Amino acid sequence: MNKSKKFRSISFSIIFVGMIFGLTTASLIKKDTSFSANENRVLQQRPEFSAERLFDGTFTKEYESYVTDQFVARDQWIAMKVYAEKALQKKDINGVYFGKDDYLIQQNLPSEIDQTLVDKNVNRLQSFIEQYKDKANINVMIVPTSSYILKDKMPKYAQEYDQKGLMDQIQTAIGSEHYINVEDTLASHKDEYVYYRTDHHWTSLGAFYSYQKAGEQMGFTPYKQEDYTITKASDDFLGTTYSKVNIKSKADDINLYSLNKSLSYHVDINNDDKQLNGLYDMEKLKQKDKYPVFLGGNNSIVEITGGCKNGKTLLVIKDSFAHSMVPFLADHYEKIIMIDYRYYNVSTKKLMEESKVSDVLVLYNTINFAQDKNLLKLVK
Amino acid sequence: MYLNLASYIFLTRGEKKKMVFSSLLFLFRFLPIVLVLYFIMPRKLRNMVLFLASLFFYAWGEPVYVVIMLFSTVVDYTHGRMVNSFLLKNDRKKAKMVVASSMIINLCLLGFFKYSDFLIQNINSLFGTSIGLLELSLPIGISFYTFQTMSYTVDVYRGHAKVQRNIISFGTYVALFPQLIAGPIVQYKTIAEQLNHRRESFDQFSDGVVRFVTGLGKKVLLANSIGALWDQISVMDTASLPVATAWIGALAYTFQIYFDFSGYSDMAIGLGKMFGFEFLENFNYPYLSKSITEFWRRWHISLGSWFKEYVYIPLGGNRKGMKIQLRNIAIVWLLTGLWHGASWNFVLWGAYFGVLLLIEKLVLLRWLGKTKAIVGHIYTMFFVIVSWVIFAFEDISKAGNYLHAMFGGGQGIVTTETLYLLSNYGVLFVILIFSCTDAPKRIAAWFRTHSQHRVAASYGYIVLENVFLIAVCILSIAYLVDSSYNPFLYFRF
Repeated sequence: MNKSKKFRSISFSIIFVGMIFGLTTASLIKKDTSFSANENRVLQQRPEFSAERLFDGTFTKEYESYVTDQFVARDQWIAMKVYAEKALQKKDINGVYFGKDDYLIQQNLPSEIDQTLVDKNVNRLQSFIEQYKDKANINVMIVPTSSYILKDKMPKYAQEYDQKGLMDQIQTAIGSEHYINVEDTLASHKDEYVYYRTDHHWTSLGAFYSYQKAGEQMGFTPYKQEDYTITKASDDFLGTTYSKVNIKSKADDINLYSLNKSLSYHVDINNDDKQLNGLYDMEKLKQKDKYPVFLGGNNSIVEITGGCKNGKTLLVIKDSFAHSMVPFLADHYEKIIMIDYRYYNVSTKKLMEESKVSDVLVLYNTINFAQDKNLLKLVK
Repeated sequence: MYLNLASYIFLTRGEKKKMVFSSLLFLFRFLPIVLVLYFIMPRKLRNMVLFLASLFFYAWGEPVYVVIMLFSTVVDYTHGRMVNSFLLKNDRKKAKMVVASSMIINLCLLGFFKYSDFLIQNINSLFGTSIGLLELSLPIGISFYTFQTMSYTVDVYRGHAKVQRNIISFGTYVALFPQLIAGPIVQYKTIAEQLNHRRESFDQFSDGVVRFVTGLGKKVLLANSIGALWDQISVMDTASLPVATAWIGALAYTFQIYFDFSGYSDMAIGLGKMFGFEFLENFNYPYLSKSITEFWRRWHISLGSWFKEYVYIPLGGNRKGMKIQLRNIAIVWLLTGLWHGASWNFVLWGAYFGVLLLIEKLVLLRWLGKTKAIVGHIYTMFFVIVSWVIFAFEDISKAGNYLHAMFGGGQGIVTTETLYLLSNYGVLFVILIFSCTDAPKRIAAWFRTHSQHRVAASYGYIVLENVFLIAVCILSIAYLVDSSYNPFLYFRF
């Protein structure tokens, strides 16, 4: 055997053995991590051993997750896999499209939507409006997600749920006098920064344009862009779609709008559970998920006062898209009550009566509306 | 969520979670520890290390069922000794009875754990009875080790192998972790000598490492990736499935099953080499075949030879006239089908190949020999792809619906969804097609011969090869780590 052949035979096995032992040692030395912010989940810790746990299989199962969850440089390995898939021209990973201009766009597959549930939700909305339209000014805003508005940035041939069809169905069902159409508004500003690149929400700007559009139908005169001081509260926001793919991405800005009038808002979260002075919870900018800066994030019931004195009370039935919008509305209602049916379990009827609600806004994004299993609460 | 279970290794469905080679647990805990223990031990104790390591490997997923494997080991060890002693006394009749007893015990084990529920279900639906199912989980690798131990007793009886007197050596053969859970089915006589007299060498170890990494890449990078596409397409509504999408799905499964199983065999063979064993090859580029007959000489070779040697030939093979031969082929293929799983679709799958092989034997092979090679390739792949659809769905009616869609029973030929899937997986398909041929091997051989006499070039080749293998290794680890990435995020908020 000649020298180079000998070298060949030795070289890779040394590398391989070195790699196996090196990474094993490194993983054993590394301190265990308890939480993965990107995944928003607790990582597996060293499992407890007992004969019982061994024989029912929990020990071995947990130990295997432990090895994987606590592997050295885990995030870097995961990023490498995503890069490899991108190199193979994969257009979406973990339910997120790689869009143009650094956009990571949430995927909404047709198979994820159940049309019978959609029909039910539309019916519930209809009966809600029927029930209260004489007592309050009711409006519905269904916001399309970025995969619909930013079509130009989407990969070719992508299969998306027909959001347009859903919006048309709702508009036809409830009549345009109750429907605030923001689809065209957002589409006409699609080249501006109306959706985050790394998060599934719309930006303050997207919400602002929709707020302007809503004014006429909801019965207020909206402020103009120049009436606000716009503060860039963060320039390193990496949101949910970033976390799904976990590779280097262009971070987002979070812009906060405040009216050029000194107003003292008061935000009460979950009936005295927590109070905010102002519409923005600046503490939330310190955490990984910064979107909760808007009104403190997802809560069962939030009451906002101090914007003006006109005796009007607005009830907002919503998902988290509303959090970017309600700060604008706060200046047009004496009181805004914002409820989230995923947590809120008190009768809507009771709330409407007791709080003397004069106006109602139902605000969801298309996909959440189509998938929400709590809308029965509208008529309860 | 990535590592799909729909692979050939599931052969034995309903198993508990087992240790597999393509896991971080195996690569970064089990393997390094076993390597160290094995090579620091003196030769005499190495079988002991392997035996204990194999039991641990087995017990990881099956702390209880390890007893069944040990039982099977002890049974065949004693049966082997008995056969031998009767042969020495020239009592072939008694020796034969002992062989029969070994087969009965092994087949009963296999039958009880693998087929009893299937039998009960059929009895229930045939006679309208409602006998309760046993719902036993299947002992890992039972389809493999029962076949191996049976082959041992038969080989001793036939004089093809010497009796094994050392129970640790015999136990090592049965439990040997590289081939324990998914083959290849190693016949005792092929490694009898190596069990007690192998000489591990650095070259063999290195060959083994290369082979192992190749297999790891095939399984993790190729099979799992394309498996995701099959997972997506196989659950689509067949009533509206366009022809092209259905074929893309079937092709995805065709690749998945090959790279999964042959990758696993490569890893087994590679690990064997690392510990000084030479197993026979299990695959030889099956998708290059020009007939189904050839396909089965290239696909899962160890299973084919097992059935040939221990079923087909003892039944008379082709030596007793055409009628008997046809009967033998029918028996072998029904059994082959059934071995793959206790479900009618596997029987149908076996029968399908039996019929194709018969037709080839009777008429087609002669004709295929005269036509252009490409006709043979297309013909073979067509029937192979269809066969995998039958194999993939345990529910035969689902397979029927899927096949119906492949031949125009769905809606349309191509949709934008088809194009989207192609744009997502097109590059991977090109890699898969290239990798299932012998082209990579031929290219490597070409480089080797052309760089042989120039020192610089030969080192250049080595560097290139190492870079490739390291890349495969690192990417495989990345894919394995990623499989645990499970973002729990509020998209729906």
